[in-house]
Order: sequence, then structure tokens, then C-alpha cells
Amino acid sequence: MIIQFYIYPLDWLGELFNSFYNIVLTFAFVLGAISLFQVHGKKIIAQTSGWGYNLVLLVSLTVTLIFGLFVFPEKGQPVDAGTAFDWIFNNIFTPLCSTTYSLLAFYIASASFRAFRARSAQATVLLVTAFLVMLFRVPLGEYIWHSLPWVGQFDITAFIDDWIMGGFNAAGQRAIMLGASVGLVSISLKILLGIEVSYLGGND
Amino acid sequence: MENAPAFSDMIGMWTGVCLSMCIFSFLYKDNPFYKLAEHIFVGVSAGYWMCIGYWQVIYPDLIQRLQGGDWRYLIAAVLGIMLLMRIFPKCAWMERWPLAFMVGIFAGYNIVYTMQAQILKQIEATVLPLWGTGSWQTACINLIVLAGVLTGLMYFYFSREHDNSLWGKSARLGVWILMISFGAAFGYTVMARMSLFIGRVMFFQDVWRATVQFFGGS
Amino acid sequence: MMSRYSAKILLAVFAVLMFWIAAVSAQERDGGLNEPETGAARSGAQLRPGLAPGVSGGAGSPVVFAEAGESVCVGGLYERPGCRGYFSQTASARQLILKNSCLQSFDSKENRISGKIYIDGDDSRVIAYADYAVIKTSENITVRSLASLEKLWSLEDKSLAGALADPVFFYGGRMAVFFKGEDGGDKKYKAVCFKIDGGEIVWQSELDGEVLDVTPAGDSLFLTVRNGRERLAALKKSEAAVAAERELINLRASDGKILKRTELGGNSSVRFWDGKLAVCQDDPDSGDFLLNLYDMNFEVLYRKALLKMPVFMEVSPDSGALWIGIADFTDGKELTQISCFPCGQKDGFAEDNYFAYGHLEEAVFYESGVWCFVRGESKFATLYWFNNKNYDYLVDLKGPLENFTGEDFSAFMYGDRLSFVYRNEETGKLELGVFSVSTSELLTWNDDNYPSSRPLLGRNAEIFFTEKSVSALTGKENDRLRYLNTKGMGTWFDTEPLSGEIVGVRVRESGGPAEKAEWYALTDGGKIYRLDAQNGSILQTLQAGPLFDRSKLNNLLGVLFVTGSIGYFIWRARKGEKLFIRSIAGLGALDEAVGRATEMGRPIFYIPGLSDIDETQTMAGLSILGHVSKCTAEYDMPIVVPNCSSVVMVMAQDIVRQAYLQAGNPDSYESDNVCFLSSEQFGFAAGVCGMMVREKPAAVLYMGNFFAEALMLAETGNTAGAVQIAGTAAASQLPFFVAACDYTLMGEELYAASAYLSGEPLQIGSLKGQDAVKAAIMLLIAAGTLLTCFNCHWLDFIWKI
Repeated sequence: MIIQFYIYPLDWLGELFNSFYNIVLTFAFVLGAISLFQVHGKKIIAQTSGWGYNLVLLVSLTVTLIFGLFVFPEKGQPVDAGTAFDWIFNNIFTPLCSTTYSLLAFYIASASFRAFRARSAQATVLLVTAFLVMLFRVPLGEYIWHSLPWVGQFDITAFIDDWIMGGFNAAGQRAIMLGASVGLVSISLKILLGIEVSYLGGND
Repeated sequence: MENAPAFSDMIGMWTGVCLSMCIFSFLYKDNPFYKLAEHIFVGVSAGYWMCIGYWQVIYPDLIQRLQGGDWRYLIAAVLGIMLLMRIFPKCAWMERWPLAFMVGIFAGYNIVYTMQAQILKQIEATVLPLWGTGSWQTACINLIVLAGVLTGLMYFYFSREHDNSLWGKSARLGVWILMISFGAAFGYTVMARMSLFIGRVMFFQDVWRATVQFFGGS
Repeated sequence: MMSRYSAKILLAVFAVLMFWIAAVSAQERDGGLNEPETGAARSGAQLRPGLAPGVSGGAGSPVVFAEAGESVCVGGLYERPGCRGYFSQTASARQLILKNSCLQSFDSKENRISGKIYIDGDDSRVIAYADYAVIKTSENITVRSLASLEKLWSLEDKSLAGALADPVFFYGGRMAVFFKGEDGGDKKYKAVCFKIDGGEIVWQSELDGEVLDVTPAGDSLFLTVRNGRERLAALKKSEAAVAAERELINLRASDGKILKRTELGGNSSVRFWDGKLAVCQDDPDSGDFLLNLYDMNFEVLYRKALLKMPVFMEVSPDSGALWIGIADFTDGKELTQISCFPCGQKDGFAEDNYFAYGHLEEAVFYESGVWCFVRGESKFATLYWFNNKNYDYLVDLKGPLENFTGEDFSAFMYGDRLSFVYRNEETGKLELGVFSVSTSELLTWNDDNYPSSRPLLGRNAEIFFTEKSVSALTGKENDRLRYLNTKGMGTWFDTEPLSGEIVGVRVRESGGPAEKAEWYALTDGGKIYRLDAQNGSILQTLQAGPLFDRSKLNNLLGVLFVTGSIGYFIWRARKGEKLFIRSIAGLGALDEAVGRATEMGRPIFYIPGLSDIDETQTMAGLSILGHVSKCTAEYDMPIVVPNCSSVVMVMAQDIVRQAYLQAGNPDSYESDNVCFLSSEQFGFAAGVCGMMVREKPAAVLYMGNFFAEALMLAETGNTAGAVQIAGTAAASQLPFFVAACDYTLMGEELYAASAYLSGEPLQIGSLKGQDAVKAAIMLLIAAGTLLTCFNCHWLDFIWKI
């Protein structure tokens, strides 16, 4: 993969290996399914507390797999629009996904509350910056700012965008990205050279 | 006026609404409704991605290619089967080969593409003039970016202690700049998260309207 | 566990297999193998009238041939010629080839590459003129020898570089360029004329705005200029009712003197026709669309109102007539109006008007008329023949509507024959039609054997198609060149398969009885094939592109530097040298977290992120899992590792099992604790949240790559009362982890954690190596910034990609 990056005639290798990776990754789904059946199946058989929910999980998984792999419409694949699989996607999967995602609105409120307790000077800085950015990104914040005497004449949105987002935020993100990139290259090299093997469970 | 929705559509919509309310109930505390919705979600989502994985990867990229005579992909099939040998304890050793192959691909890939897209590009973006930019604001912002990146990198330098020397103080300044950066990112996403919830409320509105239409006629 | 012997055999088999594939692929690249399969061919270029034949390369094609007067863009997108004027065609057989910013001069007489250079910048254009290759960027022009590509001179050398407008005009050994200038600034809009040989300035002329287009006419250059702010302000103050956005300037080409100027509206199109200027424009006063015929002094000779701005306005190279096409709608149908102004008119300017229902797709000039392909309401296209005497509804082409303007269609003239290629809707096959004007005979062919070929080049009576085949061994697409000679009325001809997609074909005519005609085919693999025009066999193969991507040299040096740095410190660590690493807050808390869990008798949750093993953060997370699971194994504590990826689950199971084995507690290992939940981001998050709330872990460790669900997980962990330690390089999620978790490893600290926890000299050495790289980056940034402040760009080559 390193060589194909530099040598033109070998660039087809990269695409080929990428394809292989995706295929092997998809094969691994079988192991995931087996893990789910094992873990939840044991609980069902042992009838541990709440085994009904494990049954619901396995039934949901099985029904989805059946409709997604074996129930063909008149024309096309089981995963095409208008099939039972598509109904499951539109009416079960998508609402659950969107709703779980929308819970973040509440979680960010509770996280803000926790952060705003300002246990340290650095947390205070985080709090103040977050508050400024939050407030002046909405029209209400701009209205409040412009109604203030003297300072109201200055453009607060430009200050937030240029100085805070374009200055401090960009600097911080870049520093993290540069440091992380160096670390990434280092750990990748260690993996290739065989120095880092703990992901394999150790040297055996 | 739009037509009233069909009965099957109503079933689907109300299924979605009920499951959504079950998820929202988690905000109060864990309860049987949330547990039910959670287990359905895990089962359906796991099954969904397995089916999509088959139809979008295995079928076109493996089966159809092998049928078309591209025998290189036999290697991918062999590697996949070796991974599945994990199921049988006596053959479980085979799984290490495909794992090593997969780790190796992206270890190599990440080195060169990270160097290209992250390191070199970020350095290029950071090297900015501190004067002669046309306005004092731009010069100041460039100075902030430079100082922030350098002090941030000093913070991530592991070979020196963050003591009271100039280095240590610079590293601590880097932490302050990182905190400002985190605060800005935090504040920036608040509105985005709120809009997700608004989206859900609008979904409930639409379902209610459709229900009224269904029972009230078009 | 497999024996070492069998492991070696397996490795050897794998290596041989890889070698075989590579060797076969290398062979195929030399065009040595015949591929039996056929498949859908790739598209070639759309042919349009006025283009030099043989120009090819669709959008995105990396390699093109260029001939005199043509310009090509370094980015690979083909452009129409960006300059007009009086060229001298290159007498030599030199052609320019561009691939991945490597420009080469190919001498087709000697069949060798005679010059090679690298061009930087996506905005570079290459123009061949006489014996020169002109490379234009947005701010500089460099003139090189066409033969050797040796640099002769540039605007930068003459301290003249600055923002340049697009048009460049060549004539009589001279080159006129147009500078963009600044409104109210120091830099002026101006036209400068250089001698192409040596770069001596012949004349300079100040303008009032940016030059958009150049129309040559005799010794005049008619420049369409977009007025700058100063000029617009001046016009507003004058008597002009409406300040015109553009103006037309008559500039004398010999000395750069501005002779006359007139205002245009917002849109305009200018053609030099029959000694007059035909200008279609928005009238600056009324805002209507007008066709104005001007003399050289901008006196209006004729004026006509138009319904709309024309969709095409061209002068026929054969008859000299001016043809204008306008698209309009009437009664809900699209109507194409074609107007023809014959040459030689002095007064009155009679025009002939023709109408066709439908959309004008293509127009091909021929003698006194024009062939128009019009797409009507029905699915069929119609070919109309318009000339200044009559028009004929000619033939319904049975091609599907959507394919008519697509890559399947092209048309070109030779002699008295109009050839066009389209796809027949009923049969699905490609059809070739040749209409003979002299005999009014329409002949069509379709080839049953190769229905999916697409035309690449039409020239004279020859039509070249490419037909694709896919290699079963390398999967590489190799094109075969198919040739049809319409003179021979249906002689199909196949070449050997060439390596890669054919993106250009040149025909070198026979220079005499002793010299046979040859074709040159250029493939996207960067090879030039010289083919025998008699039988299509390969006479010679040349590599036209570089083997090594020079633009990535700095990347290679960076990788070597990082490798060397890490290697050096690992070597020092191996020698036994003590290397200092400062403590990392958060890593010390890992042991505390395990201790706390032991005291409380509650499990530890470890979440290795949501990505697969293609993400290095996941690998770092799994490395840390090794250390954490060793601790939990020693304390005989359960560790729960829910996974979003099956492959990560497999690796995590091995790691945890190994840890319990090494700690001597194999029976304490519960495989069900290391499980797969779901590949769906929020499905996984919902499942983990449920587990955390029910099992109430004492500590939760998040080590890996996370996305939006990070906040949800961290907040739920807080609710469950767990100590939380997070580590991620995902900069967008760090703020949430910092806000919600007790300790956070930021960015590089995650990657360093594994090395720090192991304490092994090799790992510590690698950390020191990373630090050396960071120090180099800091020095580079500081030095680069200092130099940039003084406008020095000596170090730019290091990071410029």
C-alpha cells in the first residue's frame, strides 16, 4: 500500500486490496451474528432475568435477516424500495435512529450544566467560550449585543467567526491534528515493524 | 388537498411513533419500554447492516466478479473463510492471517495518506505571514494560530516536564488555547443538536396530521 | 497453534501467488497478452466542428495530446483552445503530452520523448505555438522550447508577473497577454505584447477592466472587457443612461493603440464576419437582446432585435456566412430558430430564417449550409440540412432522447460526407450513419459483434472506436482500437489490445510511397503505441509518463524522516540508554479505576470505539485494552467489552483471553463479556447505554474513535456513577469527553498511552522519536512563518503538495 502510493503503474494494487478488505470485513459479520445468538441465546435458554428482551432481540435480528436476504420481490433484490425489508428500514430502523440521535439535545444540555459548574480555571475558560459562541450564533444574542451601549456598534458575529472560530479554534484543532497524525504514523510504523503486537494478544 | 394515507402507511407511522416514545422514556429512567425498543433497535440494526453488507459488497464485489471470471477475488474469499474458521477451535489459528492482512493494509495506507493530508497540509495552512497581510486583524489572527499551534504541540511533547521554565509555561498556555478551542466547538454544536430534537417533534406533528386525515377522510 | 513448518509453507505459497499476479500484470502492461473478453467501452470525446481532429480526453482524463493552437489544463480537464489568432502550424511532428503534471515533448518523426518537465499548480495551461510551448498560470507565463522544453523566458524573470486574464493571443511571432489589475489599486489592467522569441516587450496598453475575450480581425484585436469600478463610476457620471457592464475595444495589434470603444450590455458575443463585427449583446439602454453589425469604427450598419441571446453564433469556414441559433418556446414547445446572413452583403443585410421544433444539439458546417441535429418532442432526433437556398427535413434518427446528447453521439464532415454515430433505441446498438450530400444517400452500419464501442476520433474518412476488454488476471481495462474506413464503405479493422484506456489517437499520414501511414495511440497508463495503419499491429511502445510520482517526493522524505527518527531512538533505547518520558495525566488513573472497581465489586466497561481496524485509533485502543485486561485479570475482575465491529470483537476476545491466561485465571474469562452489539452507530450506543444503566459499572473506559454518540455514552456513564476515562483523537468529540469524563487522553496521548503503559524500551524509544518529529515540525512552522513574513518561499517545497 505504501509503494502503490508512490509508483504510478502500481496504483491498481490499492484499489484491489481495498476491495479485499471490504469483502473480508463483511465475512466477519457472520461472526458478529454468531456472537449475538450465543450471548442472547444462552440467556434465553437459562431463562435469566429479562430473557424476554433477549428473545425480542434475536427475533428482530432473524426477521430482518430473513427479509433482507431471502425474501425476493418480483423484480430486484430484497433490499430494494417497496419490499418488507424497506418497510422495516423506514418504519422501525429510521425512527429509532433519528430518535436516539435527537436525545443528544438533552444530553448536551446536561453536559453543559455539568461543565458550567466550572471546577477549575480551565473549565471556566471552556465555559465562557462555549457560552459566547452559543449565545451569539442566534439572532437573540445579536439583538442583545446590539442593544448594549458603545460595544453594540461592533460586529460580534465577525468577532466570533474570525477570532474565536478562525483563530483559537483553528489553532487548537490543528495542534491536536498534527500531534495525533504524528502518533498515528508512529503507531502504524510500529505495527508494520512488529514492535506493536499487543493488538494480537501479545507475542505468541 | 392531499390524499389520506393508506392503512399500511398508518401502521408504519404509528410503529415509528411508538418506538420513538419508548426511546424518549429513557430520559426519565430505564424502563421496560426503553428496554424493548433498545433490543429491537440492536436486533434490527445488526440485521440491517448484515443484509446491506451482503448485497453491496459480497454479491457485487465477490460473487459477480467470480462469475465474471475475475479469479483474483478468490483470494478474498479464501481470506474470508479463514476468518470464519475461528468458529472451529482446531482451525482457529487460521484467523490471524486475514487479520494480519487487514491490519497491514491500513497500517501502510495510513502512513502515507496521513503524511499527505494531515501533516503536510496542516503545516502549509499554519505557515502564514504575520505582517503585510493587508489588515491588522488578519495579522493578529495569524499570530494566534501560530502561537496556538506551537504551544499546543509543546503540550503534546512528552520528553520534557511541564515545569516552571519557559517551555512549561508555553505548554500550559497551549492547554488554555486548547480549552478555548474545545469551548468553541462545544458551543458550535449545541444548536445543531437542538435541531435534531426539533426534527423529531416535526415528525410527530406530521404523523398526527396524517392520522387526522385518515380518520377524518381527505 | 500451527507449526512453524506449515506457517512457512503457507507464507511461501502466498508470496508466490503475489509474485505471479504482479508478473502477469507487468506482462499485460506491455500488451503481450490477448484478452478474450469484451465489455462496455469507455467513452471518447465529443467531436465538435472547429476542433483540430485527434484531440481527445474527456473530463477527468489525465493524458491528452495537444497540437498547435490547442491548450490543455494541467488538472486533466480538456479545454477548448483559449487563444485565437494567426498561427503558424508547427511544421515538425512535435506533440505535447501531459500526464499528472509531467509535460513531455514527443517527436513523432524520431519516435522519442525529446523533453520532459514537471508543472506545478492546478491552474496551469499549456499552449503550443510555433516552436514554443507556453505554460500559463493565473499569475505567470513561462515560454519554453517545444522541442526540449527548456525554459527560455518568463514574466516572473522580467518582474512582470501578476494576475492574468484567461485569453492569450498569438500572432506573427508575438504573444499578447492581459493583466487583470486592481480597482483603485497599484496594479493596472493592461494588455502587453511580447516577442515570443526572447520576450522583448513590443507594446503596452492600459485598459479599464478585465479582458474576457479576444476577436482578431486584420490588424485589429477586438477585446471584450468587463469594466472595472472606476470606469463604471465614470460612465455613471456621464450621459450614458445605463452604465454598461462591458465594453468592446478596438486595439491595433501592431502598436497596442486603442482606436475605438463602445459599450456592451451584460452579456455579449462577438464574431468577425465578412469585414464587419457581428455582436450579440444586451442593449445597455433598453436591456433588450440585439444583433448589431458594426464596421471597424463601431458605426452601426445593421441592428436587429433578438428574442434571446443566441445559443450559437458561428461563421461558416466554407461559405463565410454568419449563422445564429436561438432557442425559444412557443405554444409550450421548444423552437429553434436558425438565421443565416450570407457573405458579401453591403446594404440591407438580408437574412434567411429557418425553424425547427425541438432543441438544437449539434451543428456541423458544410459548404454553404449547416447540418443541425435537433431533438424534438418525440424520442427521435432529426437531422436538418439548412443552407441559404432551402432546407430539408432529412431523416429521423432512431436514437433515444437521453442518449442523443450523451457520449454515444458525435458527428463530423469529410468531403461531401457527413458521418454521425448514435445509439439505436430499438436495437440498443450503436449505429454509424454516413450521408452523402452529392448523392443524397444515407448509409448506415451497425456491427453485431461490437455493439458497445464508442467513437474516439473522426478524421477524413476514418472513424476510430475503442472497445474495452477487462483482464481476468489484473482486472485492468485494456482498450482495443477499432477502425472504420467509410471510403471503403464498411471495412472494420481491429488492433491488438493496448494496455489501459485509449485517450487519444493521432494519424500520421504517409509522406510518400516509401513512408507508410501510422497511428499513435495514447493510453491513460502513460504509454504511446505506434501502430501500423495497414494492419493495426504495434510497431513501438514508449512510456510517456513518469514511473515515480514526483509530486509525492516530499511525502516520501517525510515518511523516511519519521521512520529514521523513530528507528534512531529505538536503537538508543536498545543500547540501554534511559530515556525520559513525562507522566501523562489520565494513564495513572487507569490503575485507580481498576482498583475502584475491585473494591466496589462492579465490572469495568471498555469501549474500543466505533471504527474498524482500518482506523489506527482502534488499534491504539486495543493495545490499551491489553494492559487494562491484564490488570483486571490479576484482580480477577470482569471486564465487559461491547463492540461495534465484528473484526474488532474477534481481536478483543483474543486480547482479553490472552490476558486472563497469562494472569493464571483462564476460568475467569467470560467470552460473552466481549460481544458484538450492532454496526449501527446509535444502535450500538443505545445498547451500551442500556447495559451501563443496568449493570452499573464502576469504571468506563472509552479508547478509540467516536462520533456523535460520544456524548450520549459519557452522560449515561455519569448517570450510572462510573469513573470515566476517555481517549480519542477525534477532535470533534474531545470537548464532550473533556466536559463529561474524569480524565481525557487527547489526540496523541491516546497513541502514546500504549507505549507509556508497557514501559518497554522499544516503545519508549518510539515515543522519543515522535517527539523529535514534533520538534522538527515546530521548527519548520516557525522558520516557514518567518521566511513568509519576508516574502521568501525557500521552504515551501517541503509542504507544498
